[in-house]
Amino acid sequence: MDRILTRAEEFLLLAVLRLGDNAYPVSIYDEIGKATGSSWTLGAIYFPLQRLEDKGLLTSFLGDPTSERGGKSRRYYRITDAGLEALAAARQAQDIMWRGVEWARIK
Amino acid sequence: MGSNQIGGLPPAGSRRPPRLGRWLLSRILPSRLKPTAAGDFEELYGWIRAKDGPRKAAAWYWRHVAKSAPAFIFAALYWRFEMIGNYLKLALRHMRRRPEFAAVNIGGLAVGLAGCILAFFFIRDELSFDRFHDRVERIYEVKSKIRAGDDPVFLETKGPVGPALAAEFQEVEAATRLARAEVVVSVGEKVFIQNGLGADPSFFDVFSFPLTRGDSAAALRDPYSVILGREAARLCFGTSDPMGQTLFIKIADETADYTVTGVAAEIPARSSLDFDLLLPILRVKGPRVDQWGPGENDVDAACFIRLREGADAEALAAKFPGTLDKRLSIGKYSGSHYLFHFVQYHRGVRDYSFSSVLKPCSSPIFSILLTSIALLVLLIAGMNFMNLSVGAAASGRVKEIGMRKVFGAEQGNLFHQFRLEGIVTSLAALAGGLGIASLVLPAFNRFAGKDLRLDILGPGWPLAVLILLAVLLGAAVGSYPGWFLSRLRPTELFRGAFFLGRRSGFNRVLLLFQFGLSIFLVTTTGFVFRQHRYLLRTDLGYDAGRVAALDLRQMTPQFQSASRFLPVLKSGLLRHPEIQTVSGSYSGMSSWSAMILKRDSSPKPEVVRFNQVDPDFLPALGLRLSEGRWFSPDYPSDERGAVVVNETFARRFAPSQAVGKSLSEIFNYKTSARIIGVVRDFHFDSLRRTIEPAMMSLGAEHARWAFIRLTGKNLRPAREVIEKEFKIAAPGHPFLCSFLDEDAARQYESEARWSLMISLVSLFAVLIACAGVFALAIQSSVRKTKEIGIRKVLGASVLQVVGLLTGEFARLAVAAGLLSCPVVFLAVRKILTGYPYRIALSPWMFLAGGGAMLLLVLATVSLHALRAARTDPVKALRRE
Repeated sequence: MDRILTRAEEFLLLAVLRLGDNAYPVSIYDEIGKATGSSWTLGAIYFPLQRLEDKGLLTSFLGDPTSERGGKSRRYYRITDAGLEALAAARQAQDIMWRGVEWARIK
Repeated sequence: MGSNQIGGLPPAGSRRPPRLGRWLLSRILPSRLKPTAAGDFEELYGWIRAKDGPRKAAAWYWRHVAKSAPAFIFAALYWRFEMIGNYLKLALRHMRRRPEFAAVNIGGLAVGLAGCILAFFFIRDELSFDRFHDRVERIYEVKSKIRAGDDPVFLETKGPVGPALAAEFQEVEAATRLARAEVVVSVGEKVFIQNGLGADPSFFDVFSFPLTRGDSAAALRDPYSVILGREAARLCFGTSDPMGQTLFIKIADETADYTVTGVAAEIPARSSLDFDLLLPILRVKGPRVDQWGPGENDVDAACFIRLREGADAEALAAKFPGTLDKRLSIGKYSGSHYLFHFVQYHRGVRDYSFSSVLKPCSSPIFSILLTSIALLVLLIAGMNFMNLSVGAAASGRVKEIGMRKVFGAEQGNLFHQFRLEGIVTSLAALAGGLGIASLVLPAFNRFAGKDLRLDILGPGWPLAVLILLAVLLGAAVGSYPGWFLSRLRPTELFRGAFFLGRRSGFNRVLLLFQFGLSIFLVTTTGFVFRQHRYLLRTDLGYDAGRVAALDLRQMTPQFQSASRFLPVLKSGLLRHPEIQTVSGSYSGMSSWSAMILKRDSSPKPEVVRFNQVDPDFLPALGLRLSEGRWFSPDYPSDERGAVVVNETFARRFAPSQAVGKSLSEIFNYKTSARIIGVVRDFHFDSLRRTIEPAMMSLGAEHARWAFIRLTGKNLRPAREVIEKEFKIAAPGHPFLCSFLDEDAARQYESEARWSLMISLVSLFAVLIACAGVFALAIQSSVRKTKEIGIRKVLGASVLQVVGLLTGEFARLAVAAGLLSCPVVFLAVRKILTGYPYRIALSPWMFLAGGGAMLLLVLATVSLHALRAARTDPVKALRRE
């Protein structure tokens, strides 16, 4: 990884990871909403998802069309090994940056 | 919000989101997201609706569509750029794979664009004419309008009007009178004929012609001062300083010494006003130019004024009726003065077209023709592109397009692909067109009499305009194949059933139109060519090929007076065996004077052309007598009281018996002259004019021209003889000699140029069309490979197969020929009405144009069809 993930990218990757086989935009949107309490715009998650896919941190495949979606397919996302590495790197960087600060803040 | 059930079964009775919202979302979604994102929105809507009711769900849906829009639109743009890169790669790959189509497409469009580029610069040049004068919008020409009969004529003003304008009207900042004169300049041994312009000292207050030497405020004050143009200064004095030098100048009949008081900078090419020498107007027009005369014999001069800043031209013109006009209305004449805006002169706006001092103004017809010709070629080339793209798809790219469709390429994708290919092609063509334009620019400049430069980075950014034009053109020509092919079903594509097949009406119309245009251009060219040849070959009624004309108008009066000079020259020339006859004449060919005579029987004035000649005129020119006799020294009375008329004169004014009639019987004209003979009609004017009534009388003492008839047809030695004798008889005078057939041909130079130009254009059009047809033939035969194979197996001959391949094109060519006939007829009739003597519109000419095109198309197609027909059927059938 040449660049540390942004917070939004980190959240998206984590949401995909947590959702396992059921990660598609609606559930990802819901997951992030539940976890952070702040609501994103549904439309705002497509572009970062696409970017993560272009970078090879996510893969996607089309599911079967269903009637509840007006006959449209779902696009499911799955995290790749590169994605996992990127998450680990982000976590590590964060830990390093928080070292010492964390204690002072709580006090 | 949110629900634990997400990802599970759909809630019962879910309804779809608002239709308008769905539509809006589908518009803004980038194409890559379309298949899934709308579904995501719809799913979430369903959950919220189940939980919070339809109202809240609809509100949520709308809010999110609105909030997502910027992100979606941004994403769409981002991906579009990526796609364009992709399309570009494909376009270039495709062009490399089919270099012959790319060449035909680019070449055709390049020729058309080159024409457009030239037209663009030509028109820009026309519009910038005369703009170099400082505050040119304040310069006006004053003209007077005389109402003597029914039709008013705009004339130049009376001489004293100019100074009166400057003195009496406070709106006028400066006024100058102008008059042209050919002047003969001698300095040392050298003699030049120069283009002189007479002007008032205020000339430089009106116009902006900077002087490189001398003071423009004072340069024309001295009555015998002269300002030289750059070229004239170089001609007369070379590199030495001309200031203060003396020149010997002859203007009309007056010869005097002039002192050089200034040298003008080079005159811009886009100037209606030019001069080699600038002189005081009194020298050109004489002292009467300053006097309000008694009326009929006033001296006229062109008059230009510069208005003061903020002065209103209309307000000034409104003052004329009470002031200037009164002085113009004398006796039976009534006249008035008008202002014409100088910048509009070159474009010939309103009645402002005639001027005796300004260069001829351009006629907009040239710009219009040039532009329409360029657009025609562009149109043909564009059609080529469309047909070839569809055709190429029919043969080579079917699989590419079909596969892309099968793999889910959208209609839009294919459309963009073809449109981009069109744009790439036309940008390449623009580069080629600029190359062609700069190659032909020198020839074009000579043809158009211009000094154009292709400064594409200059003011107004022509390059940006041209690139925009090329992009639009490419998008336009690429849109049709894109739209057409992306609409087809993949199965149709694979079968290739669309090209020149049942569903290709538009293809045929394109071909038909292309053929029709080519035939139109070829046939019209044929007519223009034949008309030009007709003009050159028509019997003019005199022996143009054996007569030389010697211009004596520039000679000093003592030489010109015939009694001294002409007999000397005559006897000198006649000693040589090459010379048969020498005759003196007052007017040259095509410049006979016109007399306006009235008849008692009708109020309409009659124009009679008139010339004074000597008794050798008839034999010298080889004119033929049809009645009566020619002038003869045996009848001394011929000197004063005899005229010879032409047949038109006799027919119109003395139908019963011309010979013996007195002119005073025919016209309201006091003279004792009688008609002694009638000559056959001959064309003293160009063939653009009908022969007018003409008469000749004796008057050798006024000769300003000599006509020299040669014994043989060997012109060059004769010319040398004439020059030698002339130099002996009149040393130091300019030798101006030409042959009458050359002079006649020179009158049709514009016809020659035009026929050359349109024949080049039609050649290009036909070449482009043929290249297109050839490429189409290749494609058509590729498509029919199997059919040909089967037919050959079943025993079809080569000829039948060729017929199969050519039939489609031949039918189209014939139809195009028939359709173009009426258009050609109208166009040619319009062109030919300008000529009173013209070729007949014979039907075979129409057939020839269409037939030639048909043959050409057949030859082009057969070239390939033969090869296709000869291939082994086994090979053809095994192809798939």
